[in-house]
Amino acid sequence: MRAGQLPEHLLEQAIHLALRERTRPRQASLRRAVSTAYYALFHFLIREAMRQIGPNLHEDNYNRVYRWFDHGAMARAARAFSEKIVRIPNSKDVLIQSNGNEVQLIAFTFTELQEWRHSADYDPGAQFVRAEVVDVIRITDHVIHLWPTVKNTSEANSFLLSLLLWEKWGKQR
Amino acid sequence: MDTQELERLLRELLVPDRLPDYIKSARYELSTDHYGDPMVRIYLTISPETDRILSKDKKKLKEYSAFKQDLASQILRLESGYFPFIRLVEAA
Repeated sequence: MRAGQLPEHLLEQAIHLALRERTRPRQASLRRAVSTAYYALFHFLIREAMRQIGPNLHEDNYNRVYRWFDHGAMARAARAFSEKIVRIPNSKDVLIQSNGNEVQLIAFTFTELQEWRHSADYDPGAQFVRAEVVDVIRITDHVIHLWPTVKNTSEANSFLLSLLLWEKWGKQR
Repeated sequence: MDTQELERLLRELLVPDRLPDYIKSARYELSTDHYGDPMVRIYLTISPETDRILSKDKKKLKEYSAFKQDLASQILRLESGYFPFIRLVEAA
């Protein structure tokens, strides 16, 4: 299974769910919309990382590596890349002195979306507002379209690698 | 981790004069994300009518989005270790 157009199709589904009810949206629709938007960006970033590190892998091995990506590690990396100065985990060393605004926004959006997803899927008390959900989906779409403008930068390359190997930056040898 | 500076900034940023006029009130709590890392949760209260308007008016929604992004950027720039999580809530 190659990711193909999965991220784009998930985003389409998210929009459909957010606008499904004409007047009063059901909380279930809004929750699934948020969760689906998160998975759109999750699969998008993994697809881009795979294009960078394993474009010629056989399908079996491609699928194996794809599954190495872990929500928690990706969130920790994205949280660090949301900042201007990206610091190496468990260290005072700096990985990137001046992270670009675009990579910051993409990383920020992923971190935020993961929290949204967690709230949507596991917090029964959370109430979702349609305007916010529509905005979250719009930003997800925006950062996916922003990616081609930065994907060949050093910061973007470091970000993608970090999604898989974040803790490794702290290794001295 | 010094949270005083962060809370001072939050009190400054969340005064009614600095909020879009459709936001009825704002509050924050210093909390954690679902992994246990520090997170500042900001709740902006709107009316159900505002939700309907924002959902349909792309320009207004973009303005809200820009406001939210600016708020988050100012919090991140402080390097307090708290990640900003801002959400709209409907007034009861």
